[in-house]
Amino acid sequence: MLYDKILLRIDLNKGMVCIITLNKCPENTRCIIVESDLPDAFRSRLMGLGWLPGREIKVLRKAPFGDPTIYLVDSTEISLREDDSKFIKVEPVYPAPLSVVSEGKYVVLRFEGGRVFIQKMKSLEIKIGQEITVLPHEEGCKINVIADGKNILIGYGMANKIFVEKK
Amino acid sequence: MKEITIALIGNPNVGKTSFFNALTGSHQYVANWPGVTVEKKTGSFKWNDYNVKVVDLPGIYTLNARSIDERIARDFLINERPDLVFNIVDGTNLKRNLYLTIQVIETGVKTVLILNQMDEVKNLDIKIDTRELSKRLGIPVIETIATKGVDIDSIMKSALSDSSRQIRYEIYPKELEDLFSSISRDIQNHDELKKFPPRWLAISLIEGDDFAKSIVRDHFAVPQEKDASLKIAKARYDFIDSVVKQVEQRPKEIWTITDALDHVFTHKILGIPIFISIMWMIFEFTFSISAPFSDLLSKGFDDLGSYAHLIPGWAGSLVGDGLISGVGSVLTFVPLIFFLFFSMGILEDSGYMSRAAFLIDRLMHRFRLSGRAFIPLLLGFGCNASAIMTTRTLEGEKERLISILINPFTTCSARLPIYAVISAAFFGAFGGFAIFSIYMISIVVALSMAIIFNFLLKNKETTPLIIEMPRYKTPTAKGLAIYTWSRGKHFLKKAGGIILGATVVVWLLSNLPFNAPIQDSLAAQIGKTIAPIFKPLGFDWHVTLALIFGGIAKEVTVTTLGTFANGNLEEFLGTILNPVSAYALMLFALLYIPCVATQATMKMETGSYKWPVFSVIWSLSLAYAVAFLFEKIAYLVI
Ligand SMILES: Nc1nc2c(ncn2[C@@H]2O[C@H](COP(=O)(O)OP(=O)(O)OP(=O)(O)O)[C@@H](O)[C@H]2O)c(=O)[nH]1
Ligand SMILES: [Mg+2]
Repeated sequence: MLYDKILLRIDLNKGMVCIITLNKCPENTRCIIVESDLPDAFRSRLMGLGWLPGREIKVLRKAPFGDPTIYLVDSTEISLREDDSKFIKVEPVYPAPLSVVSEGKYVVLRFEGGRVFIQKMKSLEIKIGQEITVLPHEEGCKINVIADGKNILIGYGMANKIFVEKK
Repeated sequence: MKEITIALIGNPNVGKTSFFNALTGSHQYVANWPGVTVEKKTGSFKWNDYNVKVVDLPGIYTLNARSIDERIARDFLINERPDLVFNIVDGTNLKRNLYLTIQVIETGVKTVLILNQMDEVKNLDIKIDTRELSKRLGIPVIETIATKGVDIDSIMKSALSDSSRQIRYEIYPKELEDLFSSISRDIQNHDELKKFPPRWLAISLIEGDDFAKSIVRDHFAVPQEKDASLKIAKARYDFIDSVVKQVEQRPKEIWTITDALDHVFTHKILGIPIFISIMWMIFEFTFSISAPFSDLLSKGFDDLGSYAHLIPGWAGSLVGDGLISGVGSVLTFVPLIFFLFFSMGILEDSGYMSRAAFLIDRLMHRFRLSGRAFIPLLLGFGCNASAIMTTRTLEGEKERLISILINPFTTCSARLPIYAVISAAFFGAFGGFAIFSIYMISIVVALSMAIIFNFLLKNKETTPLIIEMPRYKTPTAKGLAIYTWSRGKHFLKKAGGIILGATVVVWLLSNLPFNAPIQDSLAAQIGKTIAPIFKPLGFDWHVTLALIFGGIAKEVTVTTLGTFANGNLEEFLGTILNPVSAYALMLFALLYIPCVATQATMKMETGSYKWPVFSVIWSLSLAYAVAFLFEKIAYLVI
């Protein structure tokens, strides 16, 4: 049912919801599986583990050097390689990291980073609860946002740690 | 007496083997990572007037099996039709486990759900309404804690009580059910297909399962429904969701100990340094803690040896040189090997194995191996033969073959006595370092061989990798004792059997003809005939013979030299080797031919003699080349 609903939403307001591949989701992101283009055998294996369209995945941890990644579905943690996860399409659930959202108006909800990172946010004058506008940008590049009328460029790595919600 | 067969089926790492051990009183291999059991294990017990045969099987997530171990479990369920299935379920992971339960019930076999790990369920504050679960699924549900023993009587009673209130629950939407019944009708039309469970066969056909398709291939064509497998899986999960919602109460996400530990152990920066330190600690711990015990044993054998030589004639020589100096030289390392297995037991039962595989995956990927292939490699440091068995969980055929072929290059515990004896004799304070360097070389060689074999076998397939991360556990004293003993026992058995036998043969050879000096003995003649081949490596006929006999079991290399040594092995080695050729011997012993048991396992796992023969030739040439080059370079440098 959920699956149908998502498809519907995608059809109705194209461009509003962003569908990305699972490997692009930074740590701590939650997302809903939309579909997968994996080989049948592997897909059915994942289905047995609860990886079905409409189910929620949490991105738990990336290994040193960024690959593989541990994902949580239901209460099972499994590790998948980027080679495989890039075939799985997902839709991030808000609050989502700034790096995966498309252009639009958002509210900053929380920071998932250490002290240095929070210091950095302070110096950029980005605060929790603040409203920001994300401008069009290319995938994997710096993200151009307008906060308090100021134009700020936020690096991709940093954007992974800023969790926002749709305004 | 009535005979019944019970199969244990369940997801990997839920406690099937622990349950099997509890039922049958056996001590099968249990560890905290998925994929430990890779073959069918049978045991039995008596209950009232039943003779119950229990079959422990490899873990599976679904009946759509792919790898060899999964196929073993599925084939047993489908082809052998056990009288009863105990479906072992991890109570902390009900949703995922019930998927298999549904599939098992669909095969029409009488199923009992064993809700295991109830202690963990309590710890995590999860509440499960067992009675409701039983009612919903229409099968008996029994709560257990397999590691703390089980109440056989009550389990058997509820399992055999005729609660066959086959309730029909609707899992699938009507259009699918219609499809199933139409295929079931096709199936009924063929007598050859009658022996298969019709509902399972029908559903699996629609799912597009290869095994099911191969069963009916000669009989009729299956209509292909687009996305049917997805619909089926979704229907199952919707059903499971509705059941679990009714029977389970789970606290909102909590920060568990496992999360906290993972934060450290799989940390992006600290993870790999921690991994390396753990490996180093195991090495250090094993050697330093076992050293005093080994010294004690060594002294004991020396004293025994000198007593034995008091026995006049050949008997004194056989006992003194052959048994005590020979076999004793290996028995000295019993503590070392037991402590090594003890450390490996901690590693395996704590849950760290999967994390290590996860951390190291990136590196393995470079060598076109999956992180999963790392586990057999690590286990190879214990014993190659049993490690090769665990490659059954690898899906890709070529990847599996490569993993089998590179495994003997990881230096197993049987080779430890060789290194230990040589380093003690030649490298003194640097002995530990010398041995550690061999371990490092062992890893480097194994991985380089992976590249070469990948190239030779034209391995292009990269098989998808899924590793499940189990919860961390504190290994129990009892579990560790059982683990260490059951693995170490193997070493003792070998010492009392094949090693003893080979040593007696060596003693005979070196004492025939009677009363001849050893230089003229049969052993010397054989050794000297072959020795020229090893001349370039600086090995004399003693070493040559030791290496040849070492092919039977690596420890025999040491016992053979011990037999020649007349009691003082270190001194004797000093007369036939120098530090350079001694290190070359360590290299050679590391690389040359897999032992007989490993060769046999290779044959069994690849199904042909080709690969063990290849492996012998390949590793022999490699060992020769490496030892030769090492000496050439070493003499240049020194
Ligand atoms: N706390 C707890 N741990 C358990 C219980 N049963 C098994 N374990 C532990 O779970 C781990 C896996 O146990 P195994 O018996 O090897 O599991 P298996 O299902 O045979 O695993 P595979 O052979 O890999 O499929 C071990 O570390 C056991 O000690 C239980 O009831 N409670
Ligand atoms: Mg098992």
